[in-house]
Amino acid sequence: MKLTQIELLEISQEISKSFMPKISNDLPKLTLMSVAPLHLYAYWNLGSHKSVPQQKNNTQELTLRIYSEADKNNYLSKGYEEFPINRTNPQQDIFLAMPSDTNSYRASLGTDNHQDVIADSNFAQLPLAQTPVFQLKADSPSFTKPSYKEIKISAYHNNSGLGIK
Amino acid sequence: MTHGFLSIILHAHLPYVRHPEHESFLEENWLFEAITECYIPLIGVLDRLQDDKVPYRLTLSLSPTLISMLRDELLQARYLKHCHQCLELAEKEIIRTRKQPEFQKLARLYRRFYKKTLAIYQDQYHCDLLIAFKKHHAAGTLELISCAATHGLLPLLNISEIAIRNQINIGIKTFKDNLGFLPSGFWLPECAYYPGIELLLAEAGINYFFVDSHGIMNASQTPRNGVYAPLDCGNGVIAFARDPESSKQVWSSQEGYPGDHDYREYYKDIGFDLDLDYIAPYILDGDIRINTGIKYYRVTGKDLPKEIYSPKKARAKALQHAQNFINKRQQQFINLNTTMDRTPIIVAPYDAELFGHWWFEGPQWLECVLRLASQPSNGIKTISCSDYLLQQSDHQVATPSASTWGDQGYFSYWINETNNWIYPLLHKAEAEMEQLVLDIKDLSISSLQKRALNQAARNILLAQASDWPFIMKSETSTDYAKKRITDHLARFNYLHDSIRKNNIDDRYLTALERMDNIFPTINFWDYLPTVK
Repeated sequence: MKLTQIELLEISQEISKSFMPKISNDLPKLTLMSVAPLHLYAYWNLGSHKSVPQQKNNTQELTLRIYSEADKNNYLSKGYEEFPINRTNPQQDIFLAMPSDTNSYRASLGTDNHQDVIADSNFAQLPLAQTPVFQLKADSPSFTKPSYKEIKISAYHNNSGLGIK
Repeated sequence: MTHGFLSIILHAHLPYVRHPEHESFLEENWLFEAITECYIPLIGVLDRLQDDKVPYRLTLSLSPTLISMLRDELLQARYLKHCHQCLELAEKEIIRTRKQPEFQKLARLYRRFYKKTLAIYQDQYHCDLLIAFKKHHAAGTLELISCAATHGLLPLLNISEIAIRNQINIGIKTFKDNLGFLPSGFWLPECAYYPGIELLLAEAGINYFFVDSHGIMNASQTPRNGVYAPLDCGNGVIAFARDPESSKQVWSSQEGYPGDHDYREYYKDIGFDLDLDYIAPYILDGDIRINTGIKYYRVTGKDLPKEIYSPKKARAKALQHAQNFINKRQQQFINLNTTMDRTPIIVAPYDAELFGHWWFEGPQWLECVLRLASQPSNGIKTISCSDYLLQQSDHQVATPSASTWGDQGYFSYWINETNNWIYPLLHKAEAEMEQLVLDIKDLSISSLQKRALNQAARNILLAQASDWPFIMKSETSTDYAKKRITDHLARFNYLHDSIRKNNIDDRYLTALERMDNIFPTINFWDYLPTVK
């Protein structure tokens, strides 16, 4: 099948415009990710769970609880840290106060002191941090950035935006 | 007598950038410049060492995206055009600098450089640089290893084990399809490790991989020999650690070699310095200044007027720095041998694109290091990690800690306020792909549907590249990085939708196959979840 450069471009542009990626909100879902020692990142969809306040003026507090692996079956124990949630932003960085023995964590999203749990997350294993990180990959001579890509791009893109000729 | 082993690893990677929908495309120059300044000079080093029968071992990791681009006919043709343009500019420079003999000498050097580049690329290796790497692998001097399919940052994709398995297995398959053998080692993109990945590496037949120093130092057991002996992850897969000292000598802004005042200055390029009318044919759209590759100045020193580059002085400095590097390793080995229960191995991994691009003299330095290390009196033996594992079979068993070699040592460069929006989208697309394959597993699949499913899988992988969040964080080409992620996810959404609705348009599918032609032997069934 023959396709010209212009046809390829038109198809590419049409698909990009019509099928932009979107977050789905059909089912409640909570995902937990490891970022750095004591640093987790969570994102969620609230879906249409009965406990999820749909009205903007609803003041019922949503919270995120982080459990260490050892406490996974005991929501009401004190083996968790709790974080209030910003309703308008379905994602959050979480900085834990203390590491647990296992360093493996799970989260849940809930209301009403977590009597109603909207979503549970996967497990996320945090890195250990007993030894300081050796920091040289991000440090290079007389240049502000270390890597080939960074330097190359900064040189190329001072003015050029997308760089399409 | 060998006092210690030195394993130098170059990791060669560029993201997949190929735009047949445009006549030319600026970001394709990343590959073209890397070919000119890094890969061909590296091949030159290897060829000279072979001609001189220097005994050495070097390891080169080739990412599957780079392998695919180096074999791509469109990019090969565009590279030739680019290289001829560089040569034309060098010739024009010889005329322009006729009254400035020092500059003209350099312009002549650039002309020789581009002529030689063309001769190596076109005449010697017929536009396929993998031939050169295979030749040196076959000669037993170069160990080639593989990497994840699109250089995905695996710990951040680990919401799905299938995603990790496919990044690993498709990467290895691409390597084997193009190089003809299975790699023993695997470069984890950005050295990003999480406990458990060794199980998937073992499943794929991998013997070893690399982590940063703190990945070993924070392992589940205190490493008896620090970073100078590898760890067995418990399943026979071996983790080698980066040595901080040898890294510092190359990477550090304070002590690193590339910042030496005699080396060529990267930022003073005639693309930015000369009159627009003169340089217009060689820059973007005739009016947007970009690097041309022709640079006449040396680093000189902070806040000083730049002085003209002297290749002779720079060559002497590269040799001096190579000798210094070897001396430092010798000293390290003397110290290590007093405490270690085995011969130490210093693992020194670097980005391959460091050598020749921003450190123009890097390939010369590397050649000198390999030549010096080959002299038996130095007590150093260059080795690949496969060689080491043949000599040393008992290893301490411990699990490394999650880590990367990036800024801060963990994952924060790839997940932060500039780029964290991509992960819900990437994870969602991966889950939808797996669900789609599960849903059709008992159905008869037409050839058109098979093509669409394979194309959907290609777009999942291309969206997962670690380069896009990296660029967003570095705030250099964020528009392009965002566009690449959203375009690949949009293409996936389109294909997913048309497969589900059974209305695949052959013309549209063909267009997508032409634009994203990577991984020709991909098999969508690899996304089928295991029924538990």
